[in-house]
Amino acid sequence: MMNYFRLFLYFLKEGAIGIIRHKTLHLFAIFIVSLSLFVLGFSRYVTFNINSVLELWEKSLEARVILKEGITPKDIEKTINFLKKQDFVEETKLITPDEALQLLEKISPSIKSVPFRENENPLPYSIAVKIKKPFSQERIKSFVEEAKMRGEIDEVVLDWQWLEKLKTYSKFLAFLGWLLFVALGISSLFTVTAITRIIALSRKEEIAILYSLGATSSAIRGPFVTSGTIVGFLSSVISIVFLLFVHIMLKHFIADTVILNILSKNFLSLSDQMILLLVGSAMGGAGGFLSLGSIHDWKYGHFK
Amino acid sequence: MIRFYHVTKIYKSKNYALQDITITIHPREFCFLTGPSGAGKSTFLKLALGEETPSSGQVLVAGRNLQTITHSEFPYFRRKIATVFQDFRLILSRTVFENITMLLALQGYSQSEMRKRAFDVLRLVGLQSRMEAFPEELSRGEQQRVAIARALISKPHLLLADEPTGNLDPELAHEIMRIFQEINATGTTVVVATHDKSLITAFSGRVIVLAKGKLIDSGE
Repeated sequence: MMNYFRLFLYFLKEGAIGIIRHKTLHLFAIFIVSLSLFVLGFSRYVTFNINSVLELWEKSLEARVILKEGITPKDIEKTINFLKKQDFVEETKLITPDEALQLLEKISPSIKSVPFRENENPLPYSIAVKIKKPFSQERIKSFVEEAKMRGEIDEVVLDWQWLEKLKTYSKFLAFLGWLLFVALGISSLFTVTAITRIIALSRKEEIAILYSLGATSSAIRGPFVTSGTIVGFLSSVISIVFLLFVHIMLKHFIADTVILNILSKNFLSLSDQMILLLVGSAMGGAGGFLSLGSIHDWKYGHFK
Repeated sequence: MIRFYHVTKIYKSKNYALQDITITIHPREFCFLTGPSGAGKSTFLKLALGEETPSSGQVLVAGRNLQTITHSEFPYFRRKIATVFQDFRLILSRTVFENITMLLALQGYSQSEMRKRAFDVLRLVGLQSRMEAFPEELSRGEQQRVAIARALISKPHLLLADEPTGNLDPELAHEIMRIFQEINATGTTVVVATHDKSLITAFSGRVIVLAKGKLIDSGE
């Protein structure tokens, strides 16, 4: 056990020495790997935020029943009673035109600059209907048809239509992120492999000597795999730091619209950060492993 | 220690490097392998090391038939056989200590154990005070002695030396040969390939003569 630990420390030392000796090449590898990890991280970041908003919306799924202009309090009460009788309705809340305007101003502050005539609020009365889960889309569709027939209801706006659309966009975005990551990941893997091979070729005498002394292939590969892993790990850390920078910029300096606010609400989860660290390290390690090819090709005189 | 049974080696150029060699080198023997350039001395050593495979025949070293050794077993087999070459094969960017303990480091030995073993083998070759020097700070004779120390650190059963004195002046060559004899006295089988007749006459040992790939004299 102690021997393995010492061997690990030796690989770590040799890997670090290898990186320091070939700084420029390794910096290039770090840049390429960081870039692909940043793409993966950013798509995870965006989808993570969209999904957390979608989860919140799903928890408080609402239909908004817009009432006709000039509706009387009696008709409002009648409509509320009608809604409460529906089997899918969990809760109703009347929203006055003033409350609606306040909400609108909260979502879009620029509305404040719109010159309304004094005491005139163009927004209608509406009723927010919280829907019980699970719900049947067919049942709600038939309710919408029924509601439209009633004289006091102007329109029924449903959250779940948006929700479904956003879910599709989110899935597509995640897929696109992975696709880009796979493409960039492959190029990163080749970059690490090629760079480590160049370095290995510059140390071919050393490898051949180790081979002739009786070093096992894993022992010969060890320092190269370790330096690849270090490159991958550093790249992951850099991409996470850069993602954090982008997150802070978005959240505090750029996000002045609802969409950007949603996209920059939370930073990557800890598990996503761990995934990035693992993926980066594994990618670097794999590059280091692949770089030497077959160890038996490294014997003395093979490379002239 | 080494057994060749009807070993023939033909290279791609269709030249016979060795032709039907049958010979046995016994444990604890001190042998010279001699002959003019192109006699097949290096091929003989490469076959014994497992670096080359025979075109026909069988090679047995330290009780193993080299044709049955797998890739994964090969490094462990090589640790039993030490090699010393004319060109020393030292890593110039590493100190004497690092050069000779490289294999031990890869086996997870502790620093103190590596220091102790390095000191022991360096004392044998008279270089215990140059542990932290770099190869380029050493003379050619000293560099060869470092290569010998490196060969001995994993306590091999067999030492194969390919023209180990080829780059050295006669005085240094004799010094290296004396070290080989000391190593042989500790029980290690030593095979020295050389075309230097003065060394063969100056030091006692079995003399195996090759010429144009054929065994002229087995020395027995």
